Amino acid sequence: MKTIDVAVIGGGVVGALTARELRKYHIDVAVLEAADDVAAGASRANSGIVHAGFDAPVGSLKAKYNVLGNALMAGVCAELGVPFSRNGSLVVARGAEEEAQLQVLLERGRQNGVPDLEIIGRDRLLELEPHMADGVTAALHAPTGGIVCPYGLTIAAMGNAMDNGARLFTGFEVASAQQTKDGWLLRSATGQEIAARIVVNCAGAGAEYVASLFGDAFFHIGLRRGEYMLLDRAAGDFASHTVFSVPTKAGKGVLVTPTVDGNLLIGPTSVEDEVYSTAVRRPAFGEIKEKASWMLRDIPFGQVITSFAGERAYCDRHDFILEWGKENVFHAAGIESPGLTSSLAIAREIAGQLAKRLGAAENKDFSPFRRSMHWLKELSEAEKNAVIARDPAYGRIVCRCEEVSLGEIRDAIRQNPPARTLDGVKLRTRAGMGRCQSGFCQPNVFHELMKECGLRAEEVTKNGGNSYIITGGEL
Amino acid sequence: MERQFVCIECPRGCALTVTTDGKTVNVTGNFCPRGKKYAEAEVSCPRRVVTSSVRGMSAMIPVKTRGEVKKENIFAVMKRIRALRINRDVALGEVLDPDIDGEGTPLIATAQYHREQTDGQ
Amino acid sequence: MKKQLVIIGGGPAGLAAAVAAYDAGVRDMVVIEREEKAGGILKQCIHNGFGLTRFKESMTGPEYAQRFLDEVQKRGIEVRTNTFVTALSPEKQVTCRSEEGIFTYEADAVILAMGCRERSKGALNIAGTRPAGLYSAGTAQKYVNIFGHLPGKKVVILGSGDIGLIMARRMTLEGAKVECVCEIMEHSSGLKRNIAQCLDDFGIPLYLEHTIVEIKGDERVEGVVIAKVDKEKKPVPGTEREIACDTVLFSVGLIPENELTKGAALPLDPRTKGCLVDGSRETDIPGIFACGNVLHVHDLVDFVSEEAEIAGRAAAEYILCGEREKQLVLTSAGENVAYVLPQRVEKGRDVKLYFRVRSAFRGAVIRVEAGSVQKAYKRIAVAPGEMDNVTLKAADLTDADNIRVSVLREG
Repeated sequence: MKTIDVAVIGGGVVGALTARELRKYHIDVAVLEAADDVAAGASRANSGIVHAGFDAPVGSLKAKYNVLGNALMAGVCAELGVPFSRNGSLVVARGAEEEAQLQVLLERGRQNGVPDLEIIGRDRLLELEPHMADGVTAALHAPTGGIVCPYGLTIAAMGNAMDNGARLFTGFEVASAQQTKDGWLLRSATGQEIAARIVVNCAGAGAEYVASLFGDAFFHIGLRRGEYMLLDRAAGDFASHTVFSVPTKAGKGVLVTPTVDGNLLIGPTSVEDEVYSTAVRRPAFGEIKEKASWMLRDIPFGQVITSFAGERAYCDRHDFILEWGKENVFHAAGIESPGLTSSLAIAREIAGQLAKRLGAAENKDFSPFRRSMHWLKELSEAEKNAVIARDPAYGRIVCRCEEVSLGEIRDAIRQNPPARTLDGVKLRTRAGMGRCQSGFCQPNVFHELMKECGLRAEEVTKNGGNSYIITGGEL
Repeated sequence: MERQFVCIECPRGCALTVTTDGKTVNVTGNFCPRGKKYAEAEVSCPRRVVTSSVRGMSAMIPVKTRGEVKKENIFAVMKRIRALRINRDVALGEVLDPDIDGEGTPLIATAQYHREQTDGQ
Repeated sequence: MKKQLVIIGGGPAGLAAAVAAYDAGVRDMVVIEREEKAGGILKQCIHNGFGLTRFKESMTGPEYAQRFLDEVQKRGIEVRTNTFVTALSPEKQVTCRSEEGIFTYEADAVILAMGCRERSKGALNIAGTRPAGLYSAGTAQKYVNIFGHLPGKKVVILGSGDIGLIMARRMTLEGAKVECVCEIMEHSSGLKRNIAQCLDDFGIPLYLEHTIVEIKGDERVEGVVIAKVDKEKKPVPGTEREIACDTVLFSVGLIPENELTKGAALPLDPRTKGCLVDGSRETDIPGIFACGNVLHVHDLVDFVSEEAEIAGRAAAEYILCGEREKQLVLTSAGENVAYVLPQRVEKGRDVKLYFRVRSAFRGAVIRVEAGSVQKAYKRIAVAPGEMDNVTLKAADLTDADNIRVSVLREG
């Protein structure tokens, strides 16, 4: 068996961007993902916020990579065709006690190197966000705060890495690691093997377990669940900034933010878990509504289209773990918030260190560009007609709520990283994400997956594993 | 003996009361004669139209029993419907099985079907 | 491209409107249908019970649709399938997208007949996981009846709307076990006969004033927690119980699909979620008409056809005779009435008023007040699941400045 240069364990945003950064060198890289698609964990279900950087303690890795990552985000999103918007963040305070907190955040932000921070009064605040709740008196305004589609970034980064020669193994749950003379032999739960000179642990919630396979036990991963409510695009313009509240004695608040796709997202709650879970608890809805109402009034909760939860890994050190463990094993663990913001800066750091260790030269053939997932929507009518003339499938609408064509669904199945599940198609195209929540288009996407992937009806899944859509058999 | 039924003959859904004393059957609550007939059948031998679909070559063909079958025979009828396979063109109303319930009730197609047609979505 | 009449939607409403418009003299028209075949949702409604009012016989959905498809074909009316309308402007430009590209019709008149969609599970704020095995009832119906796949074997249904009831029977016939149907209201929103023939016939329990409070299972659904609800529809603590299942169907309401309508800046009625129309089903923009489930959700297709014919004839009159000055009177929903349609009535014309009651009871009197004219009609029973109607003559409207419909308990 050929030994590759680097095996990245985990196809979340950090793993995918790391693979992409590694391909900027002559480094042979494979990403091993336990689930059936990338972005299966926290990268799929988080707030999608590009933080300005005033939250992290001065001098922490979080502070460093947050500010660096924030500055890099617009560029990588442009290269990868991922929607990104610098919509600005507001941390709102109610009364003198909370306003004092704003001063602390302002000072910390300045020390972290966050540009353009300012504290604004209620009048200015109302100009920025007309739906501010009555009790809100002031806010910290961070114009560099932004929003991005977290799974869109992960999928695009992985796709671009693959287009540049990286390989992706889905359904590869690393079960054992064995040191060899030139690196590590990794074996999956189903018996597949990969040999690599260097291993990067980007396993998110599974990072502590993965570390243990190499004999590393110097950090502990905890799980914190965040629950969200997502509102219809009709409610998307309710707020234009990402609105946070100052942490108070009543607990950490939630955020209210538009998403890059035009919805309104409200959450997350914060639930400590022993066992991995993405269930939404019954009290979550009331909690989210109450905390959101501290900041904004008349939120149109009647327009909720779905609710969901994401499980985030955090480290007992409460900072990122970015360090070498056993020989040739690098751990990128505990990448909690602001992990998404920091992801590219982290990936660059890892790739730089690995390239040095491997003595790898720069890959001059690397192309950083990937077609936008919304490329068709961005065209003029004449251009769209030219596309449809070449391939009529782009004229055939499958998802009526999000106006996704058959051609785009086929692209999602055919392009890197290929979608093999209904959720895979949904995350790549938005088919099924609209107001009908896939009621109309699901059976049609289902059949396209059968046709394109040569699957039988009972083999198609929602998101891999045993998430079968049809379990009652054929008539 | 007195029994209550909701009439299924039309969307009105009349609340029917049937009184039987062994010899005579008396129906009240019906808006029209169909309700009386329905209630009388319900106390003697309830019957239903069965609708389902049959697998064609490339798509499902909707079907129904032409006339009612005994309620107790519904699952036997379903078993026979499931066993049917059609690989020819079919016209709306065409008989696919002349006797689906063993009592002479035919099964007919409720849509036209061409062998080559896809699922029509 | 110029077109006298563009009909958006080739379901029962669009087809009936097309036939009526043709028979009233319009020739230059097109029906736009997004699916491969016209017929709309009737294609997957393979059960019987359609057409009793209109054709005096019990037909299945495909049979009912075929009657209208035959009429459309006989007249040579153009039906453009696999074509999706992406935009409607207030100037009656209809932009379409198909395998032939993107093109726009400049229409003299437009009939909106886009139908409705199912309310999704996501809107219900149900706690728990989001595994495979959760379907809206109509989606499950499509899997079973169109594609021949049975979604699962052990089923819980939330919502006792007609589609949910029909699917309870359909899944049972195909060998699935339907554990129960939960309905949050104190009465079913489905037809009484569907409760009899779809649930009672198969011993499927209907739990009124119950809802699903939690969904269990990581990959495929493994069960639900149901609970009784109080008067405010809040779950009553202590009444929860878990039911094992591999499939959950949601039949929790239908919403008119008015995204195009909003794009044309047409106001919607918050109660019907459809356009505001007069007796001829004309909207706030002269020459744009609406009918069928996009206007208000019907329980019987027979009434959809009837309404579509009104719109079709009116569109023809608009095209052939031009815009007409109308003297309009508003209608209003009185006691125990959820809504009245049309929302305004033209003086000098007969009109049929459709309405829904808010709650079910036996022994009802419908009272219509139109100026000095007062009318009363008796009903044995009324229910929110059953749309009712009364007809007023032009002569009844002469001095009315508002028409109010109320439903009172007898005596």
